[in-house]
Amino acid sequence: MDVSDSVIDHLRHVAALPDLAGTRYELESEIGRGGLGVVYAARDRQLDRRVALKVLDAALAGEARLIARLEHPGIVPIYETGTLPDGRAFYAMKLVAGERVDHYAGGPHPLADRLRVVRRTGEALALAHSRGIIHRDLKPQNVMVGEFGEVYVMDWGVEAVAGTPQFRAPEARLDQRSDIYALGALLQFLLPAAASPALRAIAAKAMRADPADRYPDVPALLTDIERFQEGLAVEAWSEPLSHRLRRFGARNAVLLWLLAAYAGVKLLLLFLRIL
Amino acid sequence: MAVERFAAGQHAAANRQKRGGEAEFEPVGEEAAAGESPEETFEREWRRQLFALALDDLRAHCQANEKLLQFEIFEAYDLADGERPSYAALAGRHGIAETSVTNHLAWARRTLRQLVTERLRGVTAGERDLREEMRRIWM
Repeated sequence: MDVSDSVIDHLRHVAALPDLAGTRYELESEIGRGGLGVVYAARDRQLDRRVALKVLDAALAGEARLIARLEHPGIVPIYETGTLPDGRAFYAMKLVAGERVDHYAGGPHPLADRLRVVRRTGEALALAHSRGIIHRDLKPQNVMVGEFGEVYVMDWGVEAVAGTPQFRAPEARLDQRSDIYALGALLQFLLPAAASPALRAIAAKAMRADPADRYPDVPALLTDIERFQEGLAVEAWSEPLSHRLRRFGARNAVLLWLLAAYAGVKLLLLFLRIL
Repeated sequence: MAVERFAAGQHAAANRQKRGGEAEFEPVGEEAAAGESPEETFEREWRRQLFALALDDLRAHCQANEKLLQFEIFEAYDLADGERPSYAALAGRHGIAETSVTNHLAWARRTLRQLVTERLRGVTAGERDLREEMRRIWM
């Protein structure tokens, strides 16, 4: 049968749309494409609410079951899983209103907020790792910052997804350390140009080529970020003396001012006694 | 990439012959759209060939399963190369309800997707390759 390009384009569009007949959902619009499928905004007719509907490229129901096992504030909750009449698996999940981190990064957000995004992402990863699940494709496009500042990690991978070069660890066989690499890359991505060398060192340690040289687990990386935020030395960076003194000064500013004031008063008294 | 796609095309041709298909690639040099790279031209022709075969499969499937009405509606609407008739006009033409037009189109599109998948399965090495090709075709 001879068909024109415009007909083929039409067929590619209409045959790719999920046939939701027999489900409780009504298609609204496409909102994104991930490593394993397409995400649509849909309306749940029974509960009269909007949901995100992810339609997987094939019968990969495992992804939904995998995520459903992960109950965490940083992981989008799954409402329901199902199979379309054409055999494709789908799952309905909370529709998150917010901004993807690749867009968020360009905004005028303070460093503390940026680090909070990394920490929340890391906490979700840590939970997944504790259940033996790895993300495989962590990148800014897969992290969402909600309108109330909540952070969601999305698009968890189940099978061998290629990953995104800038955020993908160099090793062929992905494991938890590969996610640590991606988290380091995410940190680096979110850092402003004038970020502290300590933070850059944390990202660099997480992104070392040899997995054995990276942080042993996600909590170790997060602890280093917390140490930075508390004004303590970080494991990833052996800082020079000048930095150490500056950090000590910043951390103990009040004490140093009191000491200086005390010394000043003492000197004044000494001076007055001499007179 | 082009070599892979070419190899896939060759493999596809071999599989078509096994299944008794006789369709062949048409020369693409003269049809290449302005500004299109050879890879894009190849990709477009590969898709055109794939859909042509799947549509032949769909027609045969409909003939064998007494689904000619579904195919006629699909042909009139989805294969129209210009202005598409309205669902109401199609319903009137065939003396059926508009919802039946919707259902028949949904069935035909679903079946076409399955037939495209089957065609792709014949030219890919495994599930992962199949998914890659599916992504290329549908996205």
